[in-house]
Amino acid sequence: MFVKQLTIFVENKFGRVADILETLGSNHVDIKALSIADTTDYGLMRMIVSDPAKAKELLVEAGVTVKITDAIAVPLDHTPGGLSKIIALLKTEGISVRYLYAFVGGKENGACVVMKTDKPEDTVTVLSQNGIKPLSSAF
Amino acid sequence: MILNPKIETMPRDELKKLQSERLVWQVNRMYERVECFRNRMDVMGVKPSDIKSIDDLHLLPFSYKKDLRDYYPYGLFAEPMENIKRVHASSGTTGKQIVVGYTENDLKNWAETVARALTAAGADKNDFIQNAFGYGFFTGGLGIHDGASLIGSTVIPISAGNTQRQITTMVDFGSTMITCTPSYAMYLAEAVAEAGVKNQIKLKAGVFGAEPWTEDMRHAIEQGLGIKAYDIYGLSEIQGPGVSYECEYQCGMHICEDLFVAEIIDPDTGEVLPEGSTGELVFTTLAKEGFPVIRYRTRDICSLNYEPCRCGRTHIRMNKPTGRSDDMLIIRGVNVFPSQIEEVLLNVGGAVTPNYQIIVDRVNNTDTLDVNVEMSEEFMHDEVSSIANLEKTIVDKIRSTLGIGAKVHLVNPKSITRSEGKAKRVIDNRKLH
Repeated sequence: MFVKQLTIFVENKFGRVADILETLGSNHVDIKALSIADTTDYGLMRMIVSDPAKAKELLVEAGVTVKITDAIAVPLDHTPGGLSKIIALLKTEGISVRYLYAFVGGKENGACVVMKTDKPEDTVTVLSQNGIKPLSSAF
Repeated sequence: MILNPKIETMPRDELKKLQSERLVWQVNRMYERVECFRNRMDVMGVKPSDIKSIDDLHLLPFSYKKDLRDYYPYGLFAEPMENIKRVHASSGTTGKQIVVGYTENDLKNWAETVARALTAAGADKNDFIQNAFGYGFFTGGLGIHDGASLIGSTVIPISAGNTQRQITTMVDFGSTMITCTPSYAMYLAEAVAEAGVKNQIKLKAGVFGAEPWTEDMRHAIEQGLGIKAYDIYGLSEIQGPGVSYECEYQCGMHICEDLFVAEIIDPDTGEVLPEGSTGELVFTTLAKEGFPVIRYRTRDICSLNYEPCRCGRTHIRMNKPTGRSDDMLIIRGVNVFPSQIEEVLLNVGGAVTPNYQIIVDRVNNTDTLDVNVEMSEEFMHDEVSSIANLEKTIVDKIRSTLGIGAKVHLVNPKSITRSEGKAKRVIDNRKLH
């Protein structure tokens, strides 16, 4: 129903992103989806990875602050209006999106959107009722 | 000029007699009225009758800033509250403020000491004194105000801040003297230069205090504002500004010894050090009624000068404090203890105190306070707004605890430098001594 998402604190310092990616890459952690939210002083890197627990352990060891939280990952068709349809459903139900990132991939001609809403349980229910099944593990 | 020649130039043997009489009076009434003092005397086995003159001062117990917190708010007052005419408050070593109280006589004496300081700096009833010390709980504003009023000068109670208005007022009202913190005086000097009004101001002198400053700063202020800059010293636990002050020879600050007696001790052993030694400054208030203290540990490190002064005053001089025997910082004239900031972080972080570092600097003559906080999992959140709220909470709580603003920066875990495994909590990049 939910996927495990890593949120990584990235101090605004030269080379930080490279260091984090290097730690994951050299330890064979596969990044499935990624986004960075930036502020003046720091950034938050959110990602879905092949092995969240291992990724966290590696990063903490490397002196990085990581938090694992639940996110909703929804597969959708990579066609115009695919994402719009889903967000419109949430709007109808009065559900707000906190953040969202999307990427192309997964199944053939597929795409995926990772999001957090103000009502996670309701979101899953609404989507399921409309024939959209959120993923329950990394895709 | 000398305001009160009878007292200020009193022969030392007469002064000693006055001090002795007052000390005996003070010890007796405090033993009767102040539980904390009585308990300490009893523990040490010292009776009020053992104190016969000022030479017996070393027999008495010390008092500490911590006492003001332990007996908060009025537990150390020696007069019933109906006789307390005013209170002032300042920050304690933790989040809790400390409070002191003044009787009518205390306020009169306080005004007199400030009047002595202002007179020594050349003030009289013809002067316009622009008082840019903050008014309120801080003793600077009202303390200087009352002293200037006693002289009969025209007081301009502008309080601190709003530089543009300070300069307009200085020019339009014809201020002849200015009182504020030395760092603000530096700032004003620059603003005056920028506004190009140096030839329109009539300032002749300034009296500055409430924070450490150097001879270099004195020269910069004197040049920038075209004045003579005088130092004034005080702390609210003793009274506020006016405990000591510079005369026209500017060779140390004359302590108002009819009211306050100073000792220099070894901060580690508590032993009184020989004349001229550098050590921790300890004050006893001889005539204070509302909030008297015996042997109060100021934590300021300095030395006393017993040489007669060319000005004719017989009261000894203290040299500018060169440091502290505790970890207190003075930032924009406000006393700041690292423990206060630690307490804020503990409250915000729940059970966990995050690793932090306080960085103090002086940029464009204004003190800056930055707090780096290592990002921990407890503070971490997947939404930017939650982390931003956390930062804002820390900033707001520091402001309400200290009374001054700080910049908070979230940094990577383990990025704060440690020496021998222990993080260095405070980095003070100002060159103040």
